[in-house]
Amino acid sequence: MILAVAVLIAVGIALMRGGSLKRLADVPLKAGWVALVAFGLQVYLIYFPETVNQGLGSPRAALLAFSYLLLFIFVARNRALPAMAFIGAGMLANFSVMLLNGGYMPITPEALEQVGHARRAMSTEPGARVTMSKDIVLPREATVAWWLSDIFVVPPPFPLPTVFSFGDVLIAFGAIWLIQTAMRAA
Amino acid sequence: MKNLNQLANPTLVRVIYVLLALLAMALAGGAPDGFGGFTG
Repeated sequence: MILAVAVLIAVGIALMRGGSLKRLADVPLKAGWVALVAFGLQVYLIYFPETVNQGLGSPRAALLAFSYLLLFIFVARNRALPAMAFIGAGMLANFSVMLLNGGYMPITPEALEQVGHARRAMSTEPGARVTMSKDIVLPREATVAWWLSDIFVVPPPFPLPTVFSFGDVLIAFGAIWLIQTAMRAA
Repeated sequence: MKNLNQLANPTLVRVIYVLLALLAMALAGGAPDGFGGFTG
């Protein structure tokens, strides 16, 4: 949700700064359907998750990895767009830590508890999937490259409590920059 | 009929396509603990 909000806020800010939605039609975006397919695959994966991470050999984890490969194709095709390097770097950061931890984004039990989403863990064992996310619950000591995982906690009373990663920050920054530039272009 | 013609406006269709693709890119590329606002 937090990334969708970032995109919508970027559109709102661009409009307030005199930008125009019509200018988005001039963005030379290529292969947009690839991003839509990747998103569609992930919607399936979050609605029909496995209970506990089975590792990269499981069909679902492999499908999630495949969706990221599609995203990298999309980024490569659109590398000329402003800020796409930040977006690609953010995706690479997220994908790397996911690969290093069995295919999903690690989150600690403590972070999940802090944000009030502990009930969404599908099991009590390490590697439990978190519903409606790409996350698995892993203790910090069991997480490879922990600093790239979901570590930034925004707890309640913030209206959209969430935990996000360094990669998410890069993606949000890049998406905001891209939209600002595109909507204000003459 | 006028409204239908406006909906079929290629510029509007392109704007919606670009916005949806960028939104899909951000949501699919990112991995916050909630996905797309479906966490309730």
